[in-house]
Amino acid sequence: MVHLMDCYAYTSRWRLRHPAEKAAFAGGLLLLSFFMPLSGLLIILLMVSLVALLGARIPYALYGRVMAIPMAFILIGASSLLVTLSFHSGLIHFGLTNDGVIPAIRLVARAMAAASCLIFFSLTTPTADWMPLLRKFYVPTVVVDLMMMTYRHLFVFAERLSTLQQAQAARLGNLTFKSRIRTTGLIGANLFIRSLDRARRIELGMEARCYNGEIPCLPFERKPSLPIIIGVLILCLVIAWIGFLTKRWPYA
Amino acid sequence: MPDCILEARDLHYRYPCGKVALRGLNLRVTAGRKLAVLGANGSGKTTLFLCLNGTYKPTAGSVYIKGQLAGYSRTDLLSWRKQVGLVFQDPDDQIVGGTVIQDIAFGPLNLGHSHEAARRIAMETMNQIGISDFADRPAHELSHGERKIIAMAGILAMKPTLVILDEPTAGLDPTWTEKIMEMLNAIHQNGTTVVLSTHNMDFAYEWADEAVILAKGATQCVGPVGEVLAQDEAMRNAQLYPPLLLLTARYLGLTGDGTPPRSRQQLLGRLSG
Repeated sequence: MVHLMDCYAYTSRWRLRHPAEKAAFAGGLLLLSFFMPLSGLLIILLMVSLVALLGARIPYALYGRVMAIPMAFILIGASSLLVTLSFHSGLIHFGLTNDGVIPAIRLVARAMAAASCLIFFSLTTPTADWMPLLRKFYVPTVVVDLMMMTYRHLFVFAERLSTLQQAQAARLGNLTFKSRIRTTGLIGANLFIRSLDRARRIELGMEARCYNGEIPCLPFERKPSLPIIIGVLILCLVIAWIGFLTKRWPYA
Repeated sequence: MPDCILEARDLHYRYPCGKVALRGLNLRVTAGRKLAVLGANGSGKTTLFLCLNGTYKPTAGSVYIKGQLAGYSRTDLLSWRKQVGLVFQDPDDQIVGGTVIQDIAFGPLNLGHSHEAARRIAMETMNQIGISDFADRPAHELSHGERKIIAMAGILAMKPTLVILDEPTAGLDPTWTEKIMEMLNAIHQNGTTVVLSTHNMDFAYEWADEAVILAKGATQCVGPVGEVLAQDEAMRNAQLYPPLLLLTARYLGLTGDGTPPRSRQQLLGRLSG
């Protein structure tokens, strides 16, 4: 699924928007969703979903599928808030009360608002695009370098893993439970050795290209648009203000 | 005396595990020529190439760049690799960037170019070999052939005077092989000297000016490709087979006038003409 999201992001209509613009929008609303009352959360959820579906034109089916994943976890978690237990005259009572239902709804709204921000960002911005941005925010070079190498070689690794699995399956390596365990062990050992070998060869490959201890990376071609960033900030302030005005409403 | 751009004199290389890969190898690369390095698996081609760009330091013998003894200090290696670019056989060993343009700009950025300059150079290189529409694609979604070309572009962007390619056509279908040949010819037209290793004798016969046969870590035979590939004895000793084209031409008696056909088209032309 993560792979699918990253793949989609490369073809996204908003791929060429500056990552900082998208990060400001998603990050700003994400921060707000931590402490907004219910009204604000619903506005954020609605706004991000509209921007994602109508602005960035993420297909409805894909957006729905990706949103369904956190939704499943959150609904299970919230269900424990929903039901109230009480003990009267030796009997256990299950009940729905305002004290349970409201926090449960708020929890679901908060989690989904936050998730929608992250999902919007990851469906419009491929990993390779935002990683160079970390340099600008003074993330240590070693960390960014490691992230970039990991990202690049995750795919090489995954490809190798699936080839190994196919090869083992072709030789009937997973017929019984016992042989499946054995096969998994062999694949793990093989991958480990190969990873070490690969690491050594990458080092040679990078040295051949005059690598000198730091992976340089090309920043995004265009500069982020200031009006968009300011617009996003104003939007955040407006939502925060609405949240502030409505925080005393019933069920907020 | 033709211009010698890179020379290996009496190279010996022994791997830490004790395996001897090169035993007194001599090689001269002439500027502006296309050289094919031929040899069976394990004959020392890859080890030789890694010695020729300073990745491996030979156990004995030395490498000369334009007549100057090559050194192994950091600055020496930097200028060495700037002049001699090495494209590895497996592109995944060499591709670093997440997207194609990020990867191709890696070399120029390492050479100290500014972001703008590196981006410009990367775009120019991509235009030159006709892959400019790849720029923003992720490296992991490319096919094997495309990745080989990206790895090549990554080296070309560093503007070396000599490019060494380790089996650029290994594992590629005939269409990709032809594409690579065209690209190599274009690079050569721009004044770059090209050295490559291959197991594809037909490719070597059609493409190269000169050929060298390696066996057991030493040079067995050097010369114009037509002459080298026609030396049956040396070829057999190195466990190589002459190109089918040459055998056919011989059989048909087309080698007599000194210009045997070098490509399929030429052979067909001679047969019909």
